[in-house]
Amino acid sequence: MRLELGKINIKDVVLGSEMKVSSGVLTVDVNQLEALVLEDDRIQKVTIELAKPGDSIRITPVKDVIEPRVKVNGSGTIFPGVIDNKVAQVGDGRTHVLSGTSVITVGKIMGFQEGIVDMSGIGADYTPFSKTLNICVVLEPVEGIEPHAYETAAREAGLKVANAIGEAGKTVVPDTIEVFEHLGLVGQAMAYPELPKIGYVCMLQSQGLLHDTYVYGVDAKNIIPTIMAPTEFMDGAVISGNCVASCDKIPTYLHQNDPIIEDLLAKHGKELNFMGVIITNENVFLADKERSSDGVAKLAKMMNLDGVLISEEGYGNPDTDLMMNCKKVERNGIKTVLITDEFPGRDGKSESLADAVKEADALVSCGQGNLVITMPPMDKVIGTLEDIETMIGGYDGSMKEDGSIEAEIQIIISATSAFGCNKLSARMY
Amino acid sequence: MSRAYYMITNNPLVITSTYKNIDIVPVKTLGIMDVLMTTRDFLHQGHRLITHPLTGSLKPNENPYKSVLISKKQDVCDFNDVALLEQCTASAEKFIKGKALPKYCDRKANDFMLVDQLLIEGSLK
Amino acid sequence: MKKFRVVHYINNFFAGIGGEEKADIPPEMRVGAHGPGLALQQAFGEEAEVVATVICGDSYYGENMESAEEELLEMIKEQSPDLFIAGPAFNAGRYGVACGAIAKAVQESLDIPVVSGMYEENPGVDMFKKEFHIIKTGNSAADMRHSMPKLATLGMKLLKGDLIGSPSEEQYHTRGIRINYFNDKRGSLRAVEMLLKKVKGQTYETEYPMPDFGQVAPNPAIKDFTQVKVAIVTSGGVVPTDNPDRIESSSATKYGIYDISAYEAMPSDVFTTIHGGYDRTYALEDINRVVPLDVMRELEKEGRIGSLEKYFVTTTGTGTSVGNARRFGQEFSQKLMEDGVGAVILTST
Repeated sequence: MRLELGKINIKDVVLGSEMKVSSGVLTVDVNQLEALVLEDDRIQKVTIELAKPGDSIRITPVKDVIEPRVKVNGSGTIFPGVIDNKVAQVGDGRTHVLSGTSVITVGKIMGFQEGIVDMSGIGADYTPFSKTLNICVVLEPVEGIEPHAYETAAREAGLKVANAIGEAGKTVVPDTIEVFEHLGLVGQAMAYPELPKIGYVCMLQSQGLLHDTYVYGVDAKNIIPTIMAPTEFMDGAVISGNCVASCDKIPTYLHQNDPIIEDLLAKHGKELNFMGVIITNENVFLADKERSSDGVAKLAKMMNLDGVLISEEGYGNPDTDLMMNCKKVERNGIKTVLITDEFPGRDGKSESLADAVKEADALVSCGQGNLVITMPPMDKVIGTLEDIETMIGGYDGSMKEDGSIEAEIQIIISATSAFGCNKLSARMY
Repeated sequence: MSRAYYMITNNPLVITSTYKNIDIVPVKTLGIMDVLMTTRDFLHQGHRLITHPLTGSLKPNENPYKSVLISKKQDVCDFNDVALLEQCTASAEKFIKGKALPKYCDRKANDFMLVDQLLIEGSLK
Repeated sequence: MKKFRVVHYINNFFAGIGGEEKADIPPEMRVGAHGPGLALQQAFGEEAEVVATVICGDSYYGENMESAEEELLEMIKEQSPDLFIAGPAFNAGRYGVACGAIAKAVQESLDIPVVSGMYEENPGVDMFKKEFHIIKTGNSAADMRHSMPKLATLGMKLLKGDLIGSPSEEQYHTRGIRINYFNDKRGSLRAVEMLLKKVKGQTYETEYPMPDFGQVAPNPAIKDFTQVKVAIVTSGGVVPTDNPDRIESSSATKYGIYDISAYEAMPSDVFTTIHGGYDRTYALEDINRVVPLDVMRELEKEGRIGSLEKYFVTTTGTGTSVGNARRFGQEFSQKLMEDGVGAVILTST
């Protein structure tokens, strides 16, 4: 499987009446996008707004963050199995990326909305999306819509918009082109016999409403562990339906730009042999956990891996999956490193994880989500501040009169995501 | 394997629903702790834990509703299940420490009930 | 420039009042620095003054925790201190626990910084490390010369609101508090690098150590109890009413073995509990609640167990160091095995 990933560096975004990229400036066709979103009769109103790095803008409540990309050639389309009912294998050929931009869906789905992206101030330090040029799609559902239906509508709206914008990059000459090639499991083993065989176990959130992930359109609750090529992620094979806890959320953007995949590929063929990705889920049934972790350990062994990185999404229930995966893989003689975030309580003094096994002796921490900070008021809010106090990380009194917000960093999108995209970490004092 | 279960829950939406092969064990208080304690008591008597007690990303200090599925059949007490429950209890306590459950308006309370219900129902076949 | 006011807590031994025979003295206050307080004063130089020393006997504190604390707090409050130093207690368990308890109380009620010093095995470390900073010391007073200056230094930093460094920088016991910071590298890269080290067998350091699980593998389950001699062991502090072996009410340094062959149930006029770590009311009403002799006799009569050993083993759990507990277990389990005991009912409180 061979993918050419062409990155078009976008320096600025403007709202306009056509969809085009020219000299690094992306113009988005507002009317086209609004019409596209309103094709879905579950959505009553939509507005498109921009938020750029350094702006005094607060975006909330955020549902998903998605990067505009387009398949230039090769099989399939971006977000297979979700958009337009097209589902074909992706991950090869050529894909262009409008790098530096993202689409952010904004809208109230339930009483405990997901979180905040601040484009400046201390809150901006904690989210990766204060550094992207954000095209915000603010959604209002029709009256009385059932939450399930609204979640689906919002999810699809974001993907459709990202897709439509991505098309603008189809014929543009990219600034950089990286080539990623997977030679097949046997091929890779033979190509780099001296290098340690490394795999990446990617745990997908799969507990239920607002806690779901989709793989080629399939609800991750219903999968058994399987192997994927890294480039499939780059083409949007995995998308997020998770929007409850902001700080450790993996938005679609991070599935597309998985930092673990990036860092493994950077060393591939030099220090390690990146054999592939094993995806698995985080179901609530304990029997499912046993089945999935057995499957992960088996696949890792069948791939003859020397070591795996294991990431997770979420807290509590997924901590048990994380530990089961670790324990069973280690017992197969394969070394593991876990990546997770922590919740040691406001004073930092409690056990950070809800589960623990002694085999988990190598862990990277993406920071603790209970830290309380005060984010200054912003001149503009895209979305609404109504539900700040019931967001995870917020509490009675979080919303100050002057517009500043005092809350745990749990409230900030991807502040502690366990893919390790940030430099935030925690240590023991 | 027997397919009969108990659902330990304080969620009104779940309590008033009927599920095949599942008997509801209602818990009166809001918040996760009494649901966990009741579950623990059942586990001590040899029932098996079927779902993870900490479903969902809503944290225990803000989520009033929790449902846990256990087996109806009693066997020897499984220490792994008990250990998991104790860990979940410790984890819940650290979130709840020093914080009271917010009082929600009906609409928001309903949202919390709905998510808890769907997380549990999602896996029932 | 204002001189900071410091109050220093020490025990009977360090106050020069006496050794173990004086461990039962009640709280008292003396003006100025005393005993090791002089070294403390020297370490502070001109910046701070040890205005008063408060003293309490280790066993007095252990047996009268609430009242001792109240009395001491009154004495301390009167001095209007800016900083409170307790110990260092080195490896003395009761002293360490007392230092910890009074320092915690001072921090809470006076809202001033507090520092103590203890050896790593002192039970006070695990009990109080999260409450405040405890400097790492050697295991005996021979280390006073090296430790005392560290307590002074850290105390001054806390007083001035300076940034407190990591445990290794400042030489205090790791407190178990997780604090965020921004690393140079993103998490995914750190993970890849850690994995490569691990796979190659090189040393690596985890960013989050798992909790200590202990290393005792359980024995296989007993298949047939009817053939087994069972003994009762307790950490509930149950002893004969005169406590002949002087087992401590906390931070025990000994265990006891006492005959129960004459009894069908634990008699309250023969046995009592001296454990300082739980409310003894219900235990004193009926000692069988802690040492379940009555139930064991029933099981014995019904033939459900082979027999009950004629003695029980006891100590106090609270504040007892892991090291001591391990040693007790290793010792008396030898005797149990020699006496043919096949299983133990272990009660804790």
